[in-house]
Amino acid sequence: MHAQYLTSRRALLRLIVMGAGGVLLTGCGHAAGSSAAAASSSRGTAQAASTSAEGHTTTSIVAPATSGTTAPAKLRMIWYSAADLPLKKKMIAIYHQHVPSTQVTVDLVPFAQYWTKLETMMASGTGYDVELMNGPNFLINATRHGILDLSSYVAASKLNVDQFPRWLRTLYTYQGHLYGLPERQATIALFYNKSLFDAIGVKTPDNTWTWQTYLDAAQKLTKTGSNGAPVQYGTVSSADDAQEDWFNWVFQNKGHVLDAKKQHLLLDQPAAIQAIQYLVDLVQKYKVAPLPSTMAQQSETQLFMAGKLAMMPGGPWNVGIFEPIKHFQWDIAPLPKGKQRACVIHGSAYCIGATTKYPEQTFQFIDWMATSKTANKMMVSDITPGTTWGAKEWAAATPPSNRKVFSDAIAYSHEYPATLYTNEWMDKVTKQLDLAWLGKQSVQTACQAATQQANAVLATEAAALKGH
Amino acid sequence: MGTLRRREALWAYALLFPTIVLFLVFMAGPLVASFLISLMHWSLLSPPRWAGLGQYQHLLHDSAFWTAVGNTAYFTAGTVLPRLVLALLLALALNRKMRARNLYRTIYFLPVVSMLVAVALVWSWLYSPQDGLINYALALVHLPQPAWLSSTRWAMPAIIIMSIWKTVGYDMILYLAGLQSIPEHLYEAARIDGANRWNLFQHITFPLLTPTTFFVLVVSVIGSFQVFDQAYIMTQGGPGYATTTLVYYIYNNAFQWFHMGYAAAQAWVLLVLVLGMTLLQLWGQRRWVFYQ
Repeated sequence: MHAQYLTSRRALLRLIVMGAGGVLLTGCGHAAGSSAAAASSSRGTAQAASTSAEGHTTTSIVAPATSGTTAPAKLRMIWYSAADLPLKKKMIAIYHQHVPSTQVTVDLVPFAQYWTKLETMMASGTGYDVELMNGPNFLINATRHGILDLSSYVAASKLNVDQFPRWLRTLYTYQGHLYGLPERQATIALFYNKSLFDAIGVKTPDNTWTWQTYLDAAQKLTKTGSNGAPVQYGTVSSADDAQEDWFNWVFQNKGHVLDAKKQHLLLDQPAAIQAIQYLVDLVQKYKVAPLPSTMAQQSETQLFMAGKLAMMPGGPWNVGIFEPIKHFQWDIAPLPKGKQRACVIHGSAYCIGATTKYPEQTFQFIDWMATSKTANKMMVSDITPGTTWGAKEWAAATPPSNRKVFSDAIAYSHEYPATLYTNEWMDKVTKQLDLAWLGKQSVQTACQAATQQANAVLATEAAALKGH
Repeated sequence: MGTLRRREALWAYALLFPTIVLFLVFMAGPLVASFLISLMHWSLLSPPRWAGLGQYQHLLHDSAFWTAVGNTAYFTAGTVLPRLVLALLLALALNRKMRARNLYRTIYFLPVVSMLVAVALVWSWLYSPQDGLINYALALVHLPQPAWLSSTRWAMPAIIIMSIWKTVGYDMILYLAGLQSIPEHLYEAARIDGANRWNLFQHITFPLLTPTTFFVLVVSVIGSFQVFDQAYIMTQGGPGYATTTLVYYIYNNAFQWFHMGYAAAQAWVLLVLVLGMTLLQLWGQRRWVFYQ
């Protein structure tokens, strides 16, 4: 639904199911030979220099034009979320009023084909000017100079990057250079169905909650029907939604997904195993969370909206999704605290395709989209913008009354675990954790196998990075 | 005489030219290219680096790859024989003179022409553990209701069942064509000699269908080894590695993780496997295929 955040397989499946028609109909198309030739031949030397393989940057030549003297430009933007396309088009229209010489068109490509499409377009030299990136896919594009190093543009425009949360900047930094301006952000908090809590007189979640309080409440809120089948669940946990789920619990237990150098997975360490065990127990031992087979058919969002789920960890995008709920009350609380308060932070970012003919104009555009007051104001009607101050503005709105939880979480958030081959090792990790959640394998074994296989991938990654 | 032959040869080449060009550009070229890519590290955007046989060595130690090979063999074993038997039975049934025969033939052939992506989606709803039609039916007759696509044990059988349903109509059509090419006078002669229906099938129909059976066998083994869409749409290769097939793994390596060299090496292993099996069948057919 909100594809900017999609990092998991099940989320992808959901998208495929919903966009099946689109998936079937979308061909390749688009790459006109002449424009390809034009794009590669007229690429400015300055730009080529700024992205040279050695990472040397030449700042003097690429200084962006000062505002007001912008040369005409036709920019192409590629986007993967149908849900907020109308908003983006409105923002673009406003920008066009500010800077009439710049025209921006948007191509929507479903998430299922997005990265492959981006890749093949780049390979053929007809990449887009503005490209949306996410954490797991950022380095693949940055290391191969598919996107531009923004540092010289940032310096020339005196853009204050500190207005973005620290870990979002880090997420889009490669070899010390910033490559993306965060478009939005998501920390993780606990959504709860207030009506279900009130009905049985259980105190609603607040910042005093621990893992034990959480489990106790979940047990009270789980109900089975006359045939023994569950009709209401206390909470959810699954292997597939790392961002909304187990990343956060591992961090709370003072565990790590990756080591400091991002060369090894640390899921086989006691802190991580303990956290995963706690989550698997919610499903297999205490049976307060739906089985994976149930989750494969009904997402936690659907269960929650149907009033069959009392609590679920989720990102700010759920606020928009839950807006239509009329038949019960709901609110947000921080995730129950483990050894420390923690959650993961992620957000997609605007990047500039390396084949662009208009680097200055493109930067000016994404700068406006990400950091201007006008753009942030428009964003908050829909979702948390990438800036910290924008996120606070979003949090000041109601309902629900407690949105502040998300902007407060920025302070204790952890970096989204991503390396060059994130997709590959996450696939292997998820496949192993799936088995633990299914009860087919002990958590210990699954975590060890996951770590071993992920480390093998990280070793090939290290070898590949040497080649860069 | 000599000039005539030469002119004829010239014409032959001229007429073959388009086909040869197409073959070189779309078959031979990519084939050679994919082999060269399999000898390199290449991520599509960065310049390729020479790897020699490194990718093939890596394959030997990649347990996920061998799991995928095993899963593909499981899928092949599970689909090929049932397809043959079911298709033959259907063809025999629908070759008789009966009412609405063409309607039935069409119904059985419909899945073949339906889009696999759409079909796979519909089937994943049928397989829903809680509210799917299949488990509902199983519950009515008090049979255990597996979690199907969410179960490591049942995910592959679920995909196999769906695939048989999807392809059996195609095999049936081939068998129908085979049945109709058997001359009626053979049956007449046998009947005069006092043969019953089973004798007719055993000594005439079945032997004369062996070329069809052979063709269906070769084609379905090759097709089964290339199974992809089902795993991609219905299970994404899971749960665990339960339905990660060879082509799905190749796809992931190439277009999700951008290891073009590694994926090309796997594709070549797939080619060798399929080629080997096809040669084995070609060699074996002399013992059991009967040509009229």
